[in-house]
Amino acid sequence: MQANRIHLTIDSNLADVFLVGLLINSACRFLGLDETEAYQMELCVVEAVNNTIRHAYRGQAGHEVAVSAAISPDRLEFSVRDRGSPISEDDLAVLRREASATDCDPFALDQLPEGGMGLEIMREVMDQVDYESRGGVNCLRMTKRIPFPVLEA
Amino acid sequence: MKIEANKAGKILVIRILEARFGADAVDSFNQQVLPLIREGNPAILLDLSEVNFLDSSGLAAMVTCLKAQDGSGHLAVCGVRESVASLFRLTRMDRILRFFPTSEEGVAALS
Repeated sequence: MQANRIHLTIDSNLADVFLVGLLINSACRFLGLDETEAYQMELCVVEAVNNTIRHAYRGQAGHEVAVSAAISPDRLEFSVRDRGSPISEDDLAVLRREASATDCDPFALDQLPEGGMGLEIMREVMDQVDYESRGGVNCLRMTKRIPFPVLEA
Repeated sequence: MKIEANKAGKILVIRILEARFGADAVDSFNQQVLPLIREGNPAILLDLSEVNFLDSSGLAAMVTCLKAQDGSGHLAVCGVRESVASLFRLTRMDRILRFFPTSEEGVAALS
């Protein structure tokens, strides 16, 4: 199925991540998603890029983070690529639904999560989240099945 | 990050004056808000009415505030738009914080 694609590259700097978010949100709104749906697509991509900067590149600027979006009539696919450290086994367990940071006792203050929620958000919002590390390149791929009448004409 | 802090009786209302509360704003938020908690403001109402983007890092900053209160205070949130409210539900943080439509309603309920 034909897809329209956009490729963006930013430096691994948290201060630049909003630019990716704004573009994803604007594209989603143009395609007919409502405010909450567009926010959630933006949120997932921003969380993925934040994770890449913080963990793959350990918060260091000066590295490339590549974001791609593919828009098909029945789905949105996002990918975030880097050449940093692969995600940990603990994080992979979150993606496989074998672990959770937010499944805690709400009355136990010390159990409340101060991190690790990004992957859970992606897992909950998206229909599919895959991670691959091959040849020094890490790629997180997210798919949301959602019809775009504007593209079906 | 620009914030505005005003006392309404015993409640400290902290209004975020930015459209985005994301990972790049967290250090600035913590540097401004944690001292206010340590100064002895046990009841805090965080006004998010200007915020149209919040991510898990912003959410984590709120958890840091809760922990800084050490179980002896209140942290409530007001003015959350529907899109941003979905993040509180996705992360189950809606079980932990109290929500009010406006700062006026929040102040009245917490006072």
